[in-house]
Amino acid sequence: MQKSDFWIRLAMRPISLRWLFVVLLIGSSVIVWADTRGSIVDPPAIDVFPDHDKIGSSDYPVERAITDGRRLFKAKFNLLDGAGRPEATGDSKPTPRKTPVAAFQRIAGPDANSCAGCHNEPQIGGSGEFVTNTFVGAHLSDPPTFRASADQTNERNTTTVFGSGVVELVAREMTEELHRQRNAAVAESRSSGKPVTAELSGGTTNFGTITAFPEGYVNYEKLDGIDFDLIIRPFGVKGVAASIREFTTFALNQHHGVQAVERFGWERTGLTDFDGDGHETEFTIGQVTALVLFQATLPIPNKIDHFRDMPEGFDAFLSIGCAACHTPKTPIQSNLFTEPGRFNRPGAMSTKDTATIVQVRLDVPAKNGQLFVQMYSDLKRHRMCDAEVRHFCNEGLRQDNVNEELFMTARLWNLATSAPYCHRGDCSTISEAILAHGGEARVAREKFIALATSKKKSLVKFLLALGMEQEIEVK
Amino acid sequence: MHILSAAIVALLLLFVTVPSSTAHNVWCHCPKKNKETTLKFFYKAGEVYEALSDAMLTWHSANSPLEKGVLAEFDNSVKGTDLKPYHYQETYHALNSLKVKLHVLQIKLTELRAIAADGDTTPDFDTALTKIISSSKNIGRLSTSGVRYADIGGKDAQQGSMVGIVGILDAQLTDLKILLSVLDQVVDGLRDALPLAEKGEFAKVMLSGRNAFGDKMPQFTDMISGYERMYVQTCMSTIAATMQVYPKGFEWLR
Repeated sequence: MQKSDFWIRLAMRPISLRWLFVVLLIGSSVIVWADTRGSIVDPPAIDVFPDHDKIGSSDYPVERAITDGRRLFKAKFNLLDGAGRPEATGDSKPTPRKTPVAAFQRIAGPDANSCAGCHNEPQIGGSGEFVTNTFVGAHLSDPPTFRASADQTNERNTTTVFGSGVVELVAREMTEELHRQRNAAVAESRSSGKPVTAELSGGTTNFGTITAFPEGYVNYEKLDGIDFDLIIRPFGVKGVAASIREFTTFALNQHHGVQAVERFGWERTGLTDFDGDGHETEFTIGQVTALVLFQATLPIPNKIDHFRDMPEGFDAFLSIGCAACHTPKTPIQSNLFTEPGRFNRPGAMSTKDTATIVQVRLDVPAKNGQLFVQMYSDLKRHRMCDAEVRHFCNEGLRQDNVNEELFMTARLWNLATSAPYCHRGDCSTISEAILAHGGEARVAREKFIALATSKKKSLVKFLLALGMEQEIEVK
Repeated sequence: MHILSAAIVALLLLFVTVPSSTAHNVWCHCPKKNKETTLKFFYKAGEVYEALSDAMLTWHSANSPLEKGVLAEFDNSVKGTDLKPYHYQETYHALNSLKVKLHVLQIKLTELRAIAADGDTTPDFDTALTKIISSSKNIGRLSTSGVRYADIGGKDAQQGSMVGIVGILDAQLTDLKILLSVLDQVVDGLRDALPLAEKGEFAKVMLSGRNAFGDKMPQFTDMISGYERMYVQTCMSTIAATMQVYPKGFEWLR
């Protein structure tokens, strides 16, 4: 066949309507884009540019970084900031996308203009109602899915950021304790020449046992509720982020298409504009630090001892076994929040990557000189469903290699302001949330059902008071 | 004909028996005023060379089992054959051994630096060396920031200029320290991933980017090859400087 024959035959071939549509769509988009280039004259939303290495100096005190962090939290990111990720998925692992996508897409994202767009109840930094749900897993899809069904995504309600600084501090202290215990077992096994089994406990939480062998190997088969690296990851429903910084860099990309240099920059990915939107530096290390500092210093919920005010409710809480996982009071050694933290995975700056460690004191309650928080969580993952009670196991996608039935114990310290409840935000009352507990919490659920109505009411009243002072502050 | 065949076989054997990691075959040179200390330097430089070669061999021995472990996981998924998690343990052992060998290198380099900085110098040599180094292009220094495969952005490491033989050895020591710190993270990352290997989940977790080892191993791989290259470049400069100023420092050589 001659060349000219080929082109004639190609021209004569019937073109499907679908392809015609695609060609016209792309063509018209290019024409429109070409026509409007240079006509976007708005200013960018980001107007603060902190330098991580200067935070804490006299030129740029920590307080200013916190204020700038608040501006970043509220900023409605736009095209000029690099919002949108046409050539990248929302995955925390830099992942290119084959199919360029529009700036906004409610399921696969980017799905929000600002952090504060969802985290705003009872005030900026707080939780969000059902309408603010996010779709974990869908953000990895390519082409992006438009379906919110359980086989496409794990739908999650917006949780509060209040108190996240102290949560990270507690997690760090627990992690350090666990690492000490593991290292001691390894050292003892080496010196004795025999296997050593050690019970692991961080704070008041038990994480099972490990066995160390003289050659340096560790058997983790009986580890419970934590990853093999023994790092407490308190953030995310599944407990997948060790720090506010990790969570922030994930969220910036997933929800806004704004890519942190430390995760998506050339040094890590080999590309200067990973998401192909024409912006090389979208969010600097200093900006991430400022955003973290704002979140870390948000007020700590539930500083009041509600169990004193409402002994009946608290007694019911204890008697049915809620406290086995929802630990009411957690002691903490220090209120000095340092940024960055030690246990960040690559892609989020850690202490190994910088000489500048920013410090800020958190307003943590104390009694008789002992600092404590009342977050009502053991920061451990638990199996939350069984054969009969499966409300929590409504997710079809495994997130970060965490078993589908395992969930990080929810912190109850802001129940007063965080309705709706359950990880999908599909429990409109506390009672529904309790009844949704299966698996390891099944016994507590059955005991709740068996309680007298008056005691049930006392328990719910007590739980609804947790974090009430925040509500009062707002009013 | 027989002679030719024998020569070819001998040549092949030479390639087979000389490990690639020892192929750099370069010791740092430093002619001193005192012939005794010159000899002392050369002997110690030889020990440094041996230590680096030994470390590189160990590094290579760490890589192969890792890939075999991954292949066994692939085979397990495709053909249903057994997993071979012991391969990952071999890598873990080899990386721990590499740590020890790099510490030996650190000791040898520190000793060599002490000899270099003993006050007995050939000024012409140091001047020539500094000139060569400052004119060199692309001597890649290690850094945890500002370079490809660094995990993080931030400011570029202060490279500083290398002055004389002591400056070169300082650079080799500084970069070795960075190499060791990243190796620590590699070993910790692998230790934490070994339980995944037992379950046949190593490859998928690494590829999903959810484990530090998946980032740290490429970073270290890049760094250790960069370190060897920097060692070769800087030591070659000492040889060039030695030749330029010869017979200074080697007046005793007849």
